[in-house]
Amino acid sequence: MSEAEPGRAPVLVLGIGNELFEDEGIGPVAARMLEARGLSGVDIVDGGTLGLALLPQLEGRNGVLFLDAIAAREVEPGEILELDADDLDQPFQLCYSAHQLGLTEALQAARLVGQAPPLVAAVGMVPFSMETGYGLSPGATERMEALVDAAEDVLLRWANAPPPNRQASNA
Amino acid sequence: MPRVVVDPLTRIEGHLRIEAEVDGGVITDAWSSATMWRGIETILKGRDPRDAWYFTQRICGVCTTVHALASVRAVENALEIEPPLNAQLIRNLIGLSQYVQDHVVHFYHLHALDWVDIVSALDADPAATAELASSISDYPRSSPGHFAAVATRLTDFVSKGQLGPFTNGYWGHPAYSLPPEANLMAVSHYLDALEFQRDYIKIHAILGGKNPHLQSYLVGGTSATIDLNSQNAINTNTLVELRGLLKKGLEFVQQAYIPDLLAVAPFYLEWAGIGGGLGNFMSFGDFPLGAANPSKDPDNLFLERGVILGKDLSTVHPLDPFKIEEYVAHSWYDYEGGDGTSKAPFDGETSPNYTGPDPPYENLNTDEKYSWLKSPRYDDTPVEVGPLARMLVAFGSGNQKVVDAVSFVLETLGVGPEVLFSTLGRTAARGVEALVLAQQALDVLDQFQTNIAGGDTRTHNGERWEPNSWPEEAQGFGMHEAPRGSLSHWVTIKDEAIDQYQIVVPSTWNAGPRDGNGNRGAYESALLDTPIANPEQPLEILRTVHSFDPCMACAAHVVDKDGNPVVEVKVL
Repeated sequence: MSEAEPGRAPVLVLGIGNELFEDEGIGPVAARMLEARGLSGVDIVDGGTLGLALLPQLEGRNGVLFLDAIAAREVEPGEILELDADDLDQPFQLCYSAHQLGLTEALQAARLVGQAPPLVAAVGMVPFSMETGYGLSPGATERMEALVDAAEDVLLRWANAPPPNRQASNA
Repeated sequence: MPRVVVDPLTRIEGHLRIEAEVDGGVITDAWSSATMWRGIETILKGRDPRDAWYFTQRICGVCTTVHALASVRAVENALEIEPPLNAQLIRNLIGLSQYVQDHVVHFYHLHALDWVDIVSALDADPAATAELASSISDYPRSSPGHFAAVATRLTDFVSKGQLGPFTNGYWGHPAYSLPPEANLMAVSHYLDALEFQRDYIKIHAILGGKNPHLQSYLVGGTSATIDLNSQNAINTNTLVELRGLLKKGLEFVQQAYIPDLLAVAPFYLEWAGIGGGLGNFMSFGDFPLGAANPSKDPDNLFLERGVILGKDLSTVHPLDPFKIEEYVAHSWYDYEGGDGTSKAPFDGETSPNYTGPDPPYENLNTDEKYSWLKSPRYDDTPVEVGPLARMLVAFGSGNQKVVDAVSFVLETLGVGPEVLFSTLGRTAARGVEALVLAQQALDVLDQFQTNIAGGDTRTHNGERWEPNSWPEEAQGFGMHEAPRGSLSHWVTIKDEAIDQYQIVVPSTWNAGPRDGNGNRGAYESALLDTPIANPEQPLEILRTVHSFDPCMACAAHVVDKDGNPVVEVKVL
């Protein structure tokens, strides 16, 4: 297990999603808003819709927080949801395309090669609209501050938590 | 006639769907459908053409670079801008390393699971695996201890019920024929390839500025700067680092990818007679050797441009971009003037009109419209694009490096060039291409360093940067061979803004539906006569479709709290 690289913060925040499809861009927009708050000990990266290409970013981190649009049944658009590592640990899906490998796949691949960060969570919002178009819907825009607050809460909790046992999650 | 349907159900919308008629254990007809419409082009209208690449690189989640490159080339073509040689070489280095990265990931992390039975690997003897591995390659991680460790790791992973990447495989399917040791070797290289691609892609961080989305594209060149003594530019250290990474790429392809390909292929030689398809191939060619825009100067490319018809490798026909047209006869769009006609991209129309069944449905009405993809045709002929097409066009053009690499693979397997027209041929061509291009990347780096040593550090041509230097109206196209095939962007600029933008992507060429003449697309044609051992586990369909390396699904991407499956297999 490698230690954190020099200049690499212990915690990574990844904004995930595609800004060409309205609220699919919640993740990258939230990442920019969080970056503007100037937190220390945190690297913030626009992960776009990259999958396995995110592996180099995950390496040597104590925690990774994903910001993303989250699809969930029977939950109203605009609802802020927090997912833990178990929620994100879904089975790989049979894919037609290597491009369907998304963040859960990147996380599992990281575990396979012993690089999974011990702390993993996602904070996201149920989207209002995912039509083709650049920019968030008015409904999502209104809820973005709440989403970024929720993300900051997770980061604060991690900062105050005892140092994690790195090996534990790489079994 | 009952149909086998393979439909990746997504969280929000569908992607690629294959319907196949199976009679007597063999596919007798097939239809390829994309069940999702995106219409990115509409976002670009009215925008500054110099910004177009920023939006188009977001079309695709993984190969972000290819749409950025096609876009800047289109705008440069329209505005008659020639970037400096250094910029072309930097673009080549980004593109070539994208290929190596992409082909390795495709082979190990998607396609390998069509041929490698992960569960069978658990039965392998590590010592025998080491013997096998050492007999085919001098790849370093080949000791009995290494394979024992991999087997333990895999067993742990599986025993915890976390099959992870391997969850939905058809393990134990009768069409798997590798011995357990070959399966274990492949699993080990699967893990190594994960590490390899993680390190190798640092090339893009070096040349592209911000990682992971490259920021260095620029109409007229690149925003990367060269100053051998500066910390904030491409300097002596970064050139050394680049060379090291590119060498690692070549080594991995030489020591793992190619030997694995050659080790697995003999167990599946029947697939050299399956999945051939159209027999017509097109390549735009790519990797300019000089400064000229490849859209304008097709004679100065490392990989040649051309068309092969009817599997005739002796004649490579010259390619005329204005013979590209698109049909919507079986696509959910309307054309002014009737849906039976075809339209060139500059006159392209994108007027969606869904007439398919309301989901969920059992079958599409394939006599009518059945896909969101248009049907692009070259000179009214369906053609296949991608690694096989590129290697065949280069082979037929007498490209010595490609001829040598193809001959090496064919001779090792003891087969003739006719086997290239198949699912296995497509998969082998991708490996051959990775080998040739991993070497070419080092040659381009030599050229780059020689040019810099000669005193040329220019990376941008700003002569026509200001919109007031542009004509009132201009049209251009940008051609790029993306890893999965011929990609073209077509732009019309009017009064300093984008008036029209059309993108014809590789997977449209390959996965598109029948055209106005009723001719099948590349997937539809390649699936004919494919044997299906078990219609409820149509592994054979996945093998052929995966051999094309589809790129349909890249951009839509939402975490699903409820964990819906992505593929539903139905036998109707």
